[in-house]
Amino acid sequence: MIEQRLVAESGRREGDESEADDAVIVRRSHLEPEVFAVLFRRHASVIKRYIARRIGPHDAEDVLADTFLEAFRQRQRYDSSLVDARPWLYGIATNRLGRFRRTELKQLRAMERTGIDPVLVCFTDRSDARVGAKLMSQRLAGALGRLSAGQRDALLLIAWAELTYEETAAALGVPVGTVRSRISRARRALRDALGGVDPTAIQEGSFHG
Amino acid sequence: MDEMSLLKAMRSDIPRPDLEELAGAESRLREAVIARRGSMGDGRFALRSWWPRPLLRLALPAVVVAAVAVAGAGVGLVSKPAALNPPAMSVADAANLRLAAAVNATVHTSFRLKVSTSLPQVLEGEYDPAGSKGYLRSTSAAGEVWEFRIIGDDGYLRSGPRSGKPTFQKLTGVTGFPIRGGVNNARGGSPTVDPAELLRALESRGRVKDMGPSGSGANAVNTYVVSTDSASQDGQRTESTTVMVGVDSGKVSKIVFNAQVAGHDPLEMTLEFSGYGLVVNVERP
Repeated sequence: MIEQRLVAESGRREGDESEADDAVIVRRSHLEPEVFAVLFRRHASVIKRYIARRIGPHDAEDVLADTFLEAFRQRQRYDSSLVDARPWLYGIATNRLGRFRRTELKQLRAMERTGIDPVLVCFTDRSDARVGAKLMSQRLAGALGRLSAGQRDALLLIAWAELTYEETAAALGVPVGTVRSRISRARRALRDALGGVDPTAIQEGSFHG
Repeated sequence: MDEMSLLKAMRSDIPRPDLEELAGAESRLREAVIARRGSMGDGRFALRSWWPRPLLRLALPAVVVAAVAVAGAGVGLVSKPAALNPPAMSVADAANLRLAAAVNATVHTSFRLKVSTSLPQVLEGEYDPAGSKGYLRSTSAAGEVWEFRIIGDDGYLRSGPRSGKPTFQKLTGVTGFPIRGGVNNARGGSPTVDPAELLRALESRGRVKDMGPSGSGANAVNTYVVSTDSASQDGQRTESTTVMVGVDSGKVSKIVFNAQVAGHDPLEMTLEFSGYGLVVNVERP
């Protein structure tokens, strides 16, 4: 059954056939809603990871569920010419993350203050990772928190969701040119924040005690 | 390492969840799908009248369209699945598909909406399903205004005299218009109806009968009747939904719900759709 094969390949794309399958899956789900679960099993893993990186694991499951529920509600509006549903799903997830903006900013400010990544501590107790990244992570987190929401969303869809500029534009519902300018400004802000710090030197130094 | 590499390093430390860690979210998705389609699992449209509370005297258990039954792990949406090699289509199947096409066309556009019941108040407003925004409003003969606005997940309720500065009560967690899905209803929340969901529920397992065309010119419509009979603790319930689809527009123009429960007064609710594609502007109070 196609569904069993797709479950086994959950979360991985494997070329033209699976790209076509997203649109087919959504289309089939119009009359067979349960088929939508295939889309969940294929993409939920990476999307949850993106969400968890942004706001931490505590609320990630709720946002993930909201994302796919909203996608299910909107499935009949899905553009079936888009064979890959990831930009669509990431766009919905990013929109749902808007309600957790304060949570995200709080975590970034905490990271700027202490150098400890409050999201990462939930997943690992690698003390060397915390210490080694102290100065970089502080400045990077602070700069991320000071970006506008639009710049931050665009930048993180590129960096953490691994979307292209075109896919990011589709996800955010803005022109590609807008994405390019937001990314450019965001990266400039991050570079300015990191200015004067050699990330490589800091990391190596920490491992040598 | 430049700033992009550093950002990517932040992400790479976060492990990808396995299927077991996703089970909770998947279960909630399934529950919500079932709740939305199958909270009417007994064949009735669970109380989803989105009238203001005074009008809820009218709203009783169920009205309207036969619902989708939950079948195993999934939810059947139409009376038979879209078969790969369907046999010759019956008249009923053809009617079902034509109705589904009209519903699909309607839920993908904004519209003006008028809702009336046997009570004196008529609610009028506009709704944009795609933008999750809209409003309904009524004014009583005594000048009392009732209004409900939906903007995304927020709802705003106004009730009071027409004169003076209007005050709104904000309701959070209102998804859709006014409350999307049956989850809140199942949890004892305020009864509501979402016009888009109500339209989608027409793609149902009820018997669809094509009553043929009527009217002429811009007023020409095709009429369909969706009927269900069921038994409940209240007694035998008969529900009939008449749906009119504009010949020119191909969209639903009117829905009339009728429900008759043994020993109770008949229930009737009418929704009229017009102004398709209008720009819906809703000001956040």
